[in-house]
Amino acid sequence: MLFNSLEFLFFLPIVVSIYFLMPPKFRWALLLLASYYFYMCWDYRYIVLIMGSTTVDYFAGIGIHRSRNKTVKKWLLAASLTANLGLLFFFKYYTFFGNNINLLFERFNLFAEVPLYDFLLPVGISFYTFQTLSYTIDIYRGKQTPEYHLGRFALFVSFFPQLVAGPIERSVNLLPQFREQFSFDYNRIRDGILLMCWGFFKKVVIADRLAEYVNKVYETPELFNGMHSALATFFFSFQIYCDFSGYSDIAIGTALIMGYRLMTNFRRPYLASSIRDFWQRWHISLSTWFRDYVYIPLGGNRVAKWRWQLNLFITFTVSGLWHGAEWTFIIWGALHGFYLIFAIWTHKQHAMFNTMFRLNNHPALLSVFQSIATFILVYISWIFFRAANTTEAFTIIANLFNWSDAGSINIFRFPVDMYISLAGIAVLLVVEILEERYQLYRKIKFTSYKSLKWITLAILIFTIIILGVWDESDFLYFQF
Amino acid sequence: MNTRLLKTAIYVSGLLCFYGFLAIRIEPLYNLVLSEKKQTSYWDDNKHGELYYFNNVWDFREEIPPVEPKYQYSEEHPELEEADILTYGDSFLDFSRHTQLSKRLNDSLNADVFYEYSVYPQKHLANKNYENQDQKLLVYTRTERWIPITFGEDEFGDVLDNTPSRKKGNTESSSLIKYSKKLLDILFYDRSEELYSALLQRSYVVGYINSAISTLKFRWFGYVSSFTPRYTFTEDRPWLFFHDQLGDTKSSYYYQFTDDEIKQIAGKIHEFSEDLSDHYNLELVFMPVPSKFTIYHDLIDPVTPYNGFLPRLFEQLDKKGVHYVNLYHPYLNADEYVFYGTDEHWTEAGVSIATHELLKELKELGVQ
Repeated sequence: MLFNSLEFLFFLPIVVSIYFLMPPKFRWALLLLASYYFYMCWDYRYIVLIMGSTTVDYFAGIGIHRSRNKTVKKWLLAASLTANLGLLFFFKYYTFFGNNINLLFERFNLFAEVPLYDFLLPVGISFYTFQTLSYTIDIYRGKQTPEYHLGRFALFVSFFPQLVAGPIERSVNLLPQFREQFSFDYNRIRDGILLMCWGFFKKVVIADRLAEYVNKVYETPELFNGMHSALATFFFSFQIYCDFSGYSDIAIGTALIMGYRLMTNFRRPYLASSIRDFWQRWHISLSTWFRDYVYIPLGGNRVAKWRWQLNLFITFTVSGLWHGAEWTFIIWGALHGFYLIFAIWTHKQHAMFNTMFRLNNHPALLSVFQSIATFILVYISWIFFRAANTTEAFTIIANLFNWSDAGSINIFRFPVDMYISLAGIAVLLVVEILEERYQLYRKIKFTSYKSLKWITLAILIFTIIILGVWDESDFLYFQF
Repeated sequence: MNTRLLKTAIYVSGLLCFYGFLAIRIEPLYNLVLSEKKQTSYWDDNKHGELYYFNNVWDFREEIPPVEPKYQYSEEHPELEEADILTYGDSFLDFSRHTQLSKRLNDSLNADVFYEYSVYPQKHLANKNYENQDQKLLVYTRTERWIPITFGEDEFGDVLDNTPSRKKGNTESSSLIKYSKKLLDILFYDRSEELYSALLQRSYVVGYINSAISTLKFRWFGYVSSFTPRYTFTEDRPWLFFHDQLGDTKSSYYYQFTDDEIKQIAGKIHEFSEDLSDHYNLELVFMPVPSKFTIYHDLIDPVTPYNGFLPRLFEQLDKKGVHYVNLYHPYLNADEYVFYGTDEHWTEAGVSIATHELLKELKELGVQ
């Protein structure tokens, strides 16, 4: 079920109404049922995978906690890792690795072949497997005690607002909330609805509109020139941000209506002053997951300098692979790893540059300059993220240097969409800058003009209805 | 006060949504809230032409006649075995805004005409254990844009399938499995999105608001649904065209068929005809109904020419000796509109011409 589907529009009020009518101690059962239903609407057979992952991690968690024997703990952790990563590998990466191994066999004239199967990638598998993995690893590390209530644990794995595209929650944050008794709180519910509407605005007004332009150019890049390719990549930068952060906002808002506080997943990433800063603002639940469960176990920065840089590179390359079983995603991740390493190498030069041009005396100017530079680097990496394969990515890059005439730049089906797209991006940036500088959301939240919140909500709803693109479209991050 | 208001709003919307959830699964509940009721055939359940419902813009409302009682449920409709002529086809035959073509035949000829809404006659005949001693005629109609698909690689197996449904597969699955499957199908209904959409468009509660919004979007920004991307207005009516005949697909009116492709399609129609003759002693009369784009594409695009699919197909059918009815030229030369502006189906003039041409062909075949 998609958040921007009519099915969800009918589903949510039913769940929320029953939720508040139910005695709090049974609410977990309603939410579990609703979450399974939510997932099964996509393909009911695949619920078995979630149930399997839940069962393995439930028993592994209890086993790890109870056992006094380190070897047994390790074996149980290994079982959990194997089950979850095995599931992920089997459904998401098997075909990719199989294809590449077969290419290698062919190159070296080896008469062997890895058999390939045509699997349907289960929606959200990368999200819920990572969420349950963090649970067992945290128990192994002694940071978390296991959840003995199977129902609540199953709900932690499958909680519908964040099941298929995150945020990837930590058990420490989410599990205890399932024991809390949330009352019907007017302010909280209104804030949740407001956040959901902001998410819908980003998704259906901006992201889905930009998608038309981006898809046209990226599906047949050879038909377009530099102007189109540059604009399409610019649009994609905002499409992916609005799509994914819009999903997160809807998820957080939905959970908030019922009382649950999910972690912030995006914090105005395009205002970041460096790539390092970007990754503290972009898909925070995933970047902190990789930090805690990959980067730090590799040694983090408490190792030799070369090893530290290698750790960064490995972490980002693996993060790229997490996004998709394609070379383009691996290059995207590796490119970000390289950016970070390059920033380490050129740290002194940056400082010298700032001093030489006295940028330190003009912090606002420095901040703008840094944000633009960071955006350009991120922009280049998005080419690999969006392109169907490396050949097309390089075609787009080559196109960027070819500014010969290739017709009108406005290739939208409805020409007015170009202006609405640009206006949408402008609104987004203004809101984000106001939020960054003046905490706009807090100001609206705590304003004494109570009607301001409802006016904001009404404007958002009106804009969503009038300017929203309502042809059903998937959220981009569903595929990961 | 505010809390109570919000609580009431949430519970009321929850109740309405729950009703919607049930209604799309239970037809009487669904029809209870629809200003235009859901019928068994979707081309019969609208007042303004089916294409209007894709974009829901008031400017494209066109009154089309109300549904008449269907011929196949009338007393004069013969049993399959008793019929002299069998007619099978797609929604054009089933479209009952005018007297259906099969009834017109029945009334005009001294013969009993059987009708079934099916594009796979063999399957229907096999299911009915049809055995025929005397040679009879089978009139088969198919919309032009579907012909390359029905008589293409993928679907043709179904066309020639003479196996009765009940004999296929393992039918002895336990009732528990059967009921579980049924329950799952109801719960995870794959048409839910489509039916929710219809509920919003046609329900008493929000139908008006929904179409007002679509109209506003059209008038302010020029937005129309991607299902009906091409439209125009002539002096007397609005025109909508369905998306499936645009683009590089074989159903498009400008797809450039090679000679081999046309020959292949004609060959399969011939095979279909032979199969009917061999299995059921039925002689095929093939009546392709031109697509709306074929006749009226110049209304929206005077530059791109028609690909000439039908005339080229007729040429090949002549060579193969397949009996067919040519509606292409009579439709082009018709004085009145043969299609509705905002519906894909034929008008009274369209069905009258089709009946006239079919009767001419039947006469040539000796049917009076």
